[in-house]
Amino acid sequence: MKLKWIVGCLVVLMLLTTACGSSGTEPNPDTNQTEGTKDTEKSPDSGKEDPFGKYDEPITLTLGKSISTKNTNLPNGDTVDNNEYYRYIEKKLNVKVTHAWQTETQEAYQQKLSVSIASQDLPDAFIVNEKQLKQLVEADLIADLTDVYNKYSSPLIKSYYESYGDRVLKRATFDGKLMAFPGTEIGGQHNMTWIRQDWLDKLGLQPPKTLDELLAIAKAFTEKDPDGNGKNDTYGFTGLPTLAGWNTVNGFDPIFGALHAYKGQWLKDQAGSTVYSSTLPEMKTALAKLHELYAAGIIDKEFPVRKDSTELIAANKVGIVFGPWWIPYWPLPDSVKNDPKAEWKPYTAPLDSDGKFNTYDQNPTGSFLVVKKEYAHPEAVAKVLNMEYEGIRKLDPAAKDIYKDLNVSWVIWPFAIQIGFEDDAYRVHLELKAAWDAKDPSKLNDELKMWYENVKKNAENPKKDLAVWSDSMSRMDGSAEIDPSKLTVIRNVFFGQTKTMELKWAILEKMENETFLKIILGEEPVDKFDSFVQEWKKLGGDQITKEVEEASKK
Amino acid sequence: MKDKKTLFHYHLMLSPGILLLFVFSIIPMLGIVMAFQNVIPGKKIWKQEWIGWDNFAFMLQIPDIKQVVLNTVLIASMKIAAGIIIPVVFALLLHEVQVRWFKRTVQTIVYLPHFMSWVILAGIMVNILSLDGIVNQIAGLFGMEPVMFLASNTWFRHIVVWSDVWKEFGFGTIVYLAALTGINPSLYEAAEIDGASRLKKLQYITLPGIMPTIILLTTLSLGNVLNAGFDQIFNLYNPLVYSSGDIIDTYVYRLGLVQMQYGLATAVGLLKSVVAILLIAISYRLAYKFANYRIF
Repeated sequence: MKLKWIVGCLVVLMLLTTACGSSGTEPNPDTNQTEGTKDTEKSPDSGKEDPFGKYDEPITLTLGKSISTKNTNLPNGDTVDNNEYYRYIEKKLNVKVTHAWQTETQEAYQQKLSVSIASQDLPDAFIVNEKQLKQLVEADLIADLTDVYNKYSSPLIKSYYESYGDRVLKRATFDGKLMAFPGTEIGGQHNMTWIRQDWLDKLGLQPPKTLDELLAIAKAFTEKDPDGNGKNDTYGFTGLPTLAGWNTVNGFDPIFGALHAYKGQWLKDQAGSTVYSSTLPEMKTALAKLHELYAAGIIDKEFPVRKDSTELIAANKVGIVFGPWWIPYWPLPDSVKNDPKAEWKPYTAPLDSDGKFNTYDQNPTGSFLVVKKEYAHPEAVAKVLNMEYEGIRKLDPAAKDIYKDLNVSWVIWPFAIQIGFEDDAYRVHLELKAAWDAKDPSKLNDELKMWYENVKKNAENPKKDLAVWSDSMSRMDGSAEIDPSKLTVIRNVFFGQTKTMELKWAILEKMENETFLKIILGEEPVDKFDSFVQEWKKLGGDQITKEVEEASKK
Repeated sequence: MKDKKTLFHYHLMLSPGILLLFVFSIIPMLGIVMAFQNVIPGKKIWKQEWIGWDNFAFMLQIPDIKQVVLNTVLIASMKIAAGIIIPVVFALLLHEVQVRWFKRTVQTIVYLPHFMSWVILAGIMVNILSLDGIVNQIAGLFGMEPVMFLASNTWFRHIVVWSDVWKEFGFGTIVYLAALTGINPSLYEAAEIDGASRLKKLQYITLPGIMPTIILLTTLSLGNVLNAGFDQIFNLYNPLVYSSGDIIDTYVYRLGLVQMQYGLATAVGLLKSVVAILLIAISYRLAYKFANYRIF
C-alpha cells in the first residue's frame, strides 16, 4: 500500500516536471533581452538631437520582418539578420538590430503580426498597414514619434515626406501626434502597356495608339501564331481575378482607363459628390468590352482560376502585359530567360477618344513603420532609418561599396519600407537620360552611376546579363513613359476605411468581383451590371458612400 | 470509504492530464467572451466594449448567409456520407483479398494522400483540371468540349467532395480493416458449417461486427457538419465559384481575419461549436435508442 503511494507520487512528479520543463526554459532569451534594454536605459544618448549621432553604449533594436531568405545573393554566409548592412548600422550608431521574428512571405507576416498584436507581444519596431496602425493607436501600444521626427529625422527623410505636401504624414497623424513613419508610394506606378516588339515585327504590325488598335494587335497575337511553333497556344494577354488595381501586374487598368472606367476608386463626379467608380456606367461599357474579348479567346481563358498570372509571361504565351515601369525587374526577366528573342517595349497606350491616357492616382502611403510604446530609444528607429537611406541612396561613401555588383536587394536593410520623392522614378530617369545623351556620367550619384554603367553594358551586349537588362529597361525605357505630361490622373478622394466598410466591405467586394467576372466570362448578361449597382447600394454601398463623402471633406 | 482511498492515487496520476486540459483547453475558452464584444486587437480582453448579441445579429443579417450556410452544409454532408460509405465498402472488399502483399500495398497507397497538405494537393488539382490538363485531354479524346472545372459552379462542389474523399478514405479504411480483424473467426466457421453464403456471412457477421465502429465514426463525424474544409476550399476557390463554394469558414476568413473583426469571427466559431455539440448529442441519443449502442 505504501509502495503504491510512493510510486504514484513519483509518477505524478515526473509528469509534472516534464510538462513544465519546456516552458520553464523558454523565457530565458526574453529576460536577457529586457535586461539588455534596461542596462542601456541608464546610458545617456550622446550627440543629442544629432540624426546620425552614435550611442556611447550599445543598444538593441528588435524587428519583426517579412523577408524571403531565398535568392538573397548575400555572400560569405551572411543572412538576412546578420549582414554587412546590419554591421554598418551597428558600427555607425552602436545600434544592434536583431530580428524578434521573421517570415518568408507577406501573408505569413500579416498572420504573425495579427497574433503579435492580439497577444501584445510586440517587437521594438515593425511595419503595419493603415488598419493595424489605427488599432494600435486605439489600443495605445505604439510610441508618439512627433518629437523624434522633428529632432532626429534627417533632412533627406524630411524632404521626401515634404514632396507629398501633407498627404502622407497626415495619414499617420492622430490628434496632432505623429504615430509612425509612413512609407511612400512613389508616383507613376500605374499599369502601362508592354508589348512584344519582336512579335509585332514578325506579324508586320504597328504599335498601338487607340484601344481598337491595341485589341487588333491582341487578336493577331492570339490567332496568327506569333511564336511560330505551329500551335494555337498564345493569347493577347492574361488578367487577374480581381481585374485591376494598384501594383497588379496583368490588371486591365489601361483598357479600363481608355474607356474612362476605374475599378474600386472613390471619385468626385461632375456635380462634386463622391461616387464609387465600380458602379458607374463606364464600368458597364468596359465589362462589355472585356466580355467581347474573352469570348473571342483573346484574353487567357483561365485567368480567373490562375493562382499566379505571371506564369504565362514566363512561358511566353502572351504578347501584351499590363504593368508598371518596373516590370523588367519582375516578371519580364523570366520571359527573356526562356526566350532570348523576347523584346519587350513599353507604350503609353491605349488612348481614349480625346487622345489622353487615363489613370488614377494611387494611395500615397500604405505601410507604416511603428515603434513599440515601451521601447526606450524611439529615436534610434529614426536614426537607423536615416542611416539606411544614406546607404540606399549611396550618399555615404562608407556604405556605397557594400555588396557591390552582387545584386543584393535594398529590402535587406533593416526597414523594408520605401520612402522617396513622389516623382522619384521620373526625376531619376531624367537625370540618367541627360547623362546618357551627353555621354557624361560624372555628375551622377553612385546609384545612378551604377545604372548608367548598366545601360551602357546592355547597349553593348543586349540581354547578356539579365540584371543589367532589368536596370536598363526599367530606368531608361519604362520610366520614360511615366512623364506626367503624358498622363491624365484621376484623383481618388479617399483611401482609408469607414466604420460601415469594416463590416460590409467584404460582402460588397465579394459581390463586385463575382459579378464582374461572371459578366466577362459570359455567365451573366452585361445587363446584370444594373442590378448589381442596385444591390450594391442597398447592401450598404449608399451608407458607405455617405461616410466617405464626410471623411474626404475633413 | 475504503474504495475512495484506493482510488485516490489513480486520481493523482490523472491530475497532470487534467491540468494540461485545464490550461490548454478550458482557460482559452474564456476567449468566448470576445463573441459578445467589439474587439479592438491589442486592448486587454476585459477592457473591450461589450455589445451583447450584436455580433450574432450581424451574422444573421449578412445577405448571402443562406447561400454560405447552404454551401457549407451541402459540402460537409456529402463529405460525411461519402466518407462513411466508401471506406466501409473498400475495407470489406480489401478484406476479401487473399493475396497478402497486394492487400498491404493497396492499403499503404490509399493511405498516402492523407499525409499531404491541401496547399500542395490544390496545386496539383489546378494543374490536372486546367484547360489543357490531363482530365480535359482525356475527355477531348471522346470528343468532349474542354471544361474549366474550377470555374464551374456545377463541378466545383463535386471536385471538393471527391478530392477530399480520395485524400481521406485510406485513413477510414485502415480503421475498418482493424475492426474487421477483431471479428472472431470461429463465427465464420460456424456459419460455414450451417451453409451460409458469402452474402449471408457479410450480412449477419461482418456488418454487425463492425457496426460499433461505424456508429462511433459516424457520430463523431456529424460534429463536422459545419466544417466543410477550409484548407481545401481556400486553396481551390475563386470569385467565380463563390455561389457554390464559399463556405462559412472562407467567408469568416475574408471578413474576420483579413479585416480583423475578431469579435465576429469568434461569434461564428462559437455558433459552429454549439451546433456541433448539439448534433453529436442527438446522434448519441439516436445511436443508443435505435442501435442500443453507447459510445461513451
